[in-house]
Amino acid sequence: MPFLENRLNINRRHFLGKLSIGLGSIALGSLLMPELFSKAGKQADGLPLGVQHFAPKAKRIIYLFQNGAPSQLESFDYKPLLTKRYGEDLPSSVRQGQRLTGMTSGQDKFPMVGSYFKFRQYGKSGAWVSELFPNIADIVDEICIVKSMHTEAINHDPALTFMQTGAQVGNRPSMGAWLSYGLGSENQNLPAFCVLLSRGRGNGQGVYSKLWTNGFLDSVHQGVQFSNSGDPVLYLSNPAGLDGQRRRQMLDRLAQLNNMSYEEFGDPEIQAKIQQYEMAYRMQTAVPEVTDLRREPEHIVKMYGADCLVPGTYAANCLLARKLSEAGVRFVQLYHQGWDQHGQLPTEMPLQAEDVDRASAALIKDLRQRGLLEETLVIWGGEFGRTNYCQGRLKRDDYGRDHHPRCFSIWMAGGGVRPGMVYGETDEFGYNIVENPVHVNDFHATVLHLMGLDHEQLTYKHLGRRYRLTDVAGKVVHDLIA
Amino acid sequence: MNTIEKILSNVIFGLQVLLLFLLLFEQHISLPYWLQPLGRMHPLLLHLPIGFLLMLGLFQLVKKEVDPGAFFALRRFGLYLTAFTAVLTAIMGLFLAREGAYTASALSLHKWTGVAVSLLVYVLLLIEQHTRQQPRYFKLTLLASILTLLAAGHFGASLTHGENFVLEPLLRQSRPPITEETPLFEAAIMPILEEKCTGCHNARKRKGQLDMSTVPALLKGGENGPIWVAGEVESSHLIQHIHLPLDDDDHMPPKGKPQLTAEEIQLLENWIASGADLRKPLKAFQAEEPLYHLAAQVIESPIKGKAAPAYDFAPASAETIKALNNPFRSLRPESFNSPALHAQLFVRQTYEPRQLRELTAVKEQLVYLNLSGLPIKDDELKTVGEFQNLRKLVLNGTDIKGEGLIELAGCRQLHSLALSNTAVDTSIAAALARLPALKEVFIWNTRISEPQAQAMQAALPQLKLHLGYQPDSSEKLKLSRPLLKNGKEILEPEERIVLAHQFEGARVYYTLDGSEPDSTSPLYEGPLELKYYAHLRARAYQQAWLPSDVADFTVFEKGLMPQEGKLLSIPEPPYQGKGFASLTDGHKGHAGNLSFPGWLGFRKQPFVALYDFGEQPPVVSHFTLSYCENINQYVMPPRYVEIWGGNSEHSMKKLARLLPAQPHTYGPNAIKGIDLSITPATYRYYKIIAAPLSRLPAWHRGKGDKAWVFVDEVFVYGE
Repeated sequence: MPFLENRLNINRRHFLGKLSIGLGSIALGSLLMPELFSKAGKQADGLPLGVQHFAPKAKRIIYLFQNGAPSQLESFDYKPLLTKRYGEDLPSSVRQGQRLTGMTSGQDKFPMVGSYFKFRQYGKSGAWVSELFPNIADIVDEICIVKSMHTEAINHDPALTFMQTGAQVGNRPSMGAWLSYGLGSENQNLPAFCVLLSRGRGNGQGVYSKLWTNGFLDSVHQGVQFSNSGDPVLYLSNPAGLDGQRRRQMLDRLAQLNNMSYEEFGDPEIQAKIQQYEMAYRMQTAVPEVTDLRREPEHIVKMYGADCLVPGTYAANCLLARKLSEAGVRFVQLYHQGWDQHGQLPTEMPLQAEDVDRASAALIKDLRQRGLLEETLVIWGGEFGRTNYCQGRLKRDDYGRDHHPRCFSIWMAGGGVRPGMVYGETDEFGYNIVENPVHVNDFHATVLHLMGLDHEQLTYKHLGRRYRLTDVAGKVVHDLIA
Repeated sequence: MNTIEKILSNVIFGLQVLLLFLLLFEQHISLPYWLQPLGRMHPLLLHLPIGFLLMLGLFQLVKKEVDPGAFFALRRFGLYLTAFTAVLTAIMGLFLAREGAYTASALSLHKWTGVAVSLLVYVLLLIEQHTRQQPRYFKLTLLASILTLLAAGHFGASLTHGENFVLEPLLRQSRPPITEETPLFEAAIMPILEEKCTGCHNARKRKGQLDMSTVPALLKGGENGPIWVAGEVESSHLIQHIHLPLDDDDHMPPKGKPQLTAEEIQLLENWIASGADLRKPLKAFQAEEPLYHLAAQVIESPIKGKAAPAYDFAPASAETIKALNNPFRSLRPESFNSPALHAQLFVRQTYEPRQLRELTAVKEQLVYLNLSGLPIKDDELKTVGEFQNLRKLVLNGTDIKGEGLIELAGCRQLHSLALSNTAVDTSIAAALARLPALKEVFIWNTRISEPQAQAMQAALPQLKLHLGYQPDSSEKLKLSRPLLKNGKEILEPEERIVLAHQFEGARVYYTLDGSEPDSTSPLYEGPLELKYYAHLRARAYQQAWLPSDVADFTVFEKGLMPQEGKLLSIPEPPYQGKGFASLTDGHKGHAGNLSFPGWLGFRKQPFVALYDFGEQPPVVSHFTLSYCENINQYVMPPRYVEIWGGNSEHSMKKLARLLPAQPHTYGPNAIKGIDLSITPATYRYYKIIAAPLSRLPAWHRGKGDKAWVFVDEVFVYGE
């Protein structure tokens, strides 16, 4: 084409001339974009890190994760219709072709089954709670039950990962890591994100460190798992034959060496390393102080239940969680395993409930009586719900429930959550949500909001895109906020 | 090309680049106010490229009538003018778009067609500059430019604008500033109406006989009468029209015009619901009122922050805050841009009084102070009393006794005080009474008894005392279970089983035969001897407590280690553990977690393992197979277990066979052992076989199906 041929004749002077005009224009345009070329100390979106975007309701979170997915139908979502229509096949108009797990997809019938346990209304809010949770029923006016949670995953691993990291695939930062990244650590003598594990007596599912991973965030935001025997934090004690004074001398000398190499190379990572050694040293004092029960009154044992003295139990972890949180730990994550009742639900669920009922309620009361409930958000719940029909053979005193992502119940307390409320509603079959659904992304957005963070502003740029805990979705559920 | 042309050509090129650059980073543009009028000139300027471009098209039609030299010169001139004005218009349009207030979809169509016009015209200019002939694609491009122009014009027209549009940002400066005295209506409601409604509903246009531009006209309403009914959101026409579906002809604002945002709708509704007051000034609202809260979000003025706790003090300097932060003291702003500060001190052992004293550098800004667990003494509360804006003070677990609380009188804002876990007594009542803003006091686990607290509460009705949990001596709770003190399930030879309990004085009863222990079972008085394997069941008793649940412990004695070994059958994935090594590594599985790597799982074929004790085999007399019972998950005891022995891998004889008892119903998940004794022998090789049950019993939920066998260790013992 003559036009193109002509353009090829462009000479260097001409090219450079045009180039300078073009660059000049860009420079002019960039005057209107003050943040385009300066990013120091800020997130891409301009809000500073390490401080709340707006005045927070909650300062800290304790997440009582009920791992394996406790049945909503035997806890907080009362469905008398299922008892009335016991054994009848679930109408397909209710199931609406919902996908099933491999465990029940082979079943030719889906017999509905109501709760083996009795329900009663409690408190001023009149919320229905099953007889398995008498202590939680006692504090029902302090908590906010959300009956309309729903998720996208139908198996434990993806659902658990989704609940904890906002994505079904692994390797995204966990909620606690996001908070540590967004708000920093309050108490620099303890990790900002602590993880406590306990195991119930029901059919269990494992937990694994990817649930408390820092993902692509800096590894300081990773959850630190406390162990149930020996040192609560690995390698906390000085090795045999080394006392505190020697340790101090060693660290001082090490810091001297590190400082020498910092002066030579100027790498800020060296300073970071020195700081980490110092934090580990301070943890040697701070952790035993937190785990020490001697400053608790005797009747704390009666409050949380006798198990709270047995390391590694849920009750002991609740008490420890309170102590860590009180000492400024931003996010304490508990996992209680054993809630996967595919069979034997009437025998297994009371054991699980016995483990958690008293201690969970005690934690709320304990925070309340210390004036800390309003600044601490407590969350109780699993990764999905359970089916309203029986898995396997249905008997009056023996049945099981499969995984159900379309609705499940959780509760929250303190931290600016509206107390004494039951939010959302499921249909009479307890299968679909009919009012105020809360997606996992919405839940995350709300939790971040309570902590004073805008879930759309808390981002981290990784592999060419910005990531959020809520990815590209999520709405703050303002109705849940007091 | 003459000089003017050259300059113009470069200017146009520069502007084109600027346009593309601005488009590329549109999200980052932050427009200074003085550039806004330039953007708002867009609707004025845009008529020029429209006129010029149409003129070029018409000019093309009369080409034959004009002298060719003049025609090309004039057209070239016209093209420069068009390209210059088009690109300028497009840039101004982008500026205008940054001000928001347009629906994204309508705006995006107008934006892209407008940019396309500018680019097409520039292409025309390039063709003109660089070709001598006038090729056919010149005409085609010209036609395309005109068509795109028409489209852009159309989309632009649908983004309507109100009166006085261009000069409005300048006029706005002359409006009285919003103060506490400004009525909420004027500050928050009228601006919405002006922005979204008065474009069509004004004194001149009066669509639907409605003029919304002044208060009297608003009150008069339109053809259907008044547009709102105070207090009745649902019967107010204003709200009804807003909520009609977007496609409804009566939906307001009409489709394609800037729509009301959710916040604006909420604000209008709240305003009507609360009585549609036109005069009530902002200062007459409480900060917690939803209407005020909503209004504060849209008002751009210094009083915006009232919705959050109102702080009327100046912020501390960033250096001061930074200097006060150390590992044992955290001092942080309440939020981004808030002057209020929150402080907490940490670690009892490292506390020094100066950590608290130094906070007086921010005594005005401190609103929250948490001293939980620190050895704070009463006399130090004098320092705290200097924090005049303190809202919340946490003294739980400190060493105070109460007499220092009187020093807090300077904390006129203090509304929450936590004293739990301290030695304070009823004498604090006088100090509490002197705190005017105090609303709640936490006194759990202090020297104040329940009746005393009730009396104090009656004397201090303005605040709430929280006494917290009081143990009920009649309530009996279950004791915790006994613990295996050994801390491991595989004991060294000669090691004894040690039981323990967290409660001093608790009695532990146990059985070894699998039966349920009670207070008539043997009492644990000291370490128990272990031979091979034991299934120990234990239960704790103590006065004032209910007996504990039964604790089940399965303990094994450490066995002889073979020199080598291998699995002769392959476990089913994923339950393959570490292969043969799993059997002798001393790592026990967990009965509730079958994916635990300690387990080897078998279903289609029996478990068969070969132990090789080498050239000089020891005497062997006993085998214990450790297996899992998780009946619900189809994991049953083996159907049979066999031991074979021999000095060659290929010729062995059966030494023992056992048919373990099968359960008759579901039971708890457990790790159990199967003991097999043989006549003491010194074979080099032993083969251990455990076959899964081929059919689950009739009572099981998987009846007729194959069962699993899970093995984690096989122990071999000498004499």
